[in-house]
Amino acid sequence: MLRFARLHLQPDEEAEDAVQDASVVLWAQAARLAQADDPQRYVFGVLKNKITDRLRQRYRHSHEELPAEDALDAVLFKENGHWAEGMGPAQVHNPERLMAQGQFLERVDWCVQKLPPKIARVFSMKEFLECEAAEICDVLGLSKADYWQCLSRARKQLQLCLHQQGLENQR
Amino acid sequence: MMNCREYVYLLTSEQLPQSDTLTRMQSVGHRYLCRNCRAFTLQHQALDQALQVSRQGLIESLHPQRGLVVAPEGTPAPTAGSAPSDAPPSGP
Repeated sequence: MLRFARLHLQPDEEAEDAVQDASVVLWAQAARLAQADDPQRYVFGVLKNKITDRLRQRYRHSHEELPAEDALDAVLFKENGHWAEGMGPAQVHNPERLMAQGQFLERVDWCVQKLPPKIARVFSMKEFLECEAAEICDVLGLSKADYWQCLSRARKQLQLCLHQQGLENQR
Repeated sequence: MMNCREYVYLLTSEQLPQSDTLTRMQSVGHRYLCRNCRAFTLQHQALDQALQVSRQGLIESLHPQRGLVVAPEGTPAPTAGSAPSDAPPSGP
């Protein structure tokens, strides 16, 4: 639970507090938990609520600026909107082969940790907390346009990171 | 005509499925013509698969019978039928 909470909350004390809050609820609901069809999902649901409560308290009214989208796009694309030389992903590693070797997940994990904080929060709420767009916008105080920008930026940056790692490994 | 930057933005922001018919047709046309964007789309799908595996692994690590859910210190033992006050909204 702590490992999961640490993905979303920093510093560690904040993650520990969320896990403790969730543990209190789960302990109080032990009988219900024991009868749950899917105990993992039940624990996940309680922990998710505790994490999003804390994220909401901290970020709903924050005015953290997004990193400039243009900087990443300037690396990836030419002025006419087509792929820049050498940035097209055509020659990148075979993801299926890497998945089979277990390397792909490690690389994705490493690349997620390199994302800017605000973008990482949106991405991890979407992908790991399974939050819907409306909930993410509400919790983090984002407009829909900001949400789309964060999601797009996260995906592009991850692809770029995976691309670079793939090229390094070919050397 | 749609360019690579526009196609990649629609794909990565996950707006493509909700886009109007014309935009979706343009994106299909662009993907057909552009091998880089075809490759990017495949990488995007592979990333989705990897994230799904990763997410499933994280949820499985939360199994209460593995001792990961422990009673906090000083918490009284629950009684069967005690009223839960903080269940997940769409929880089991």
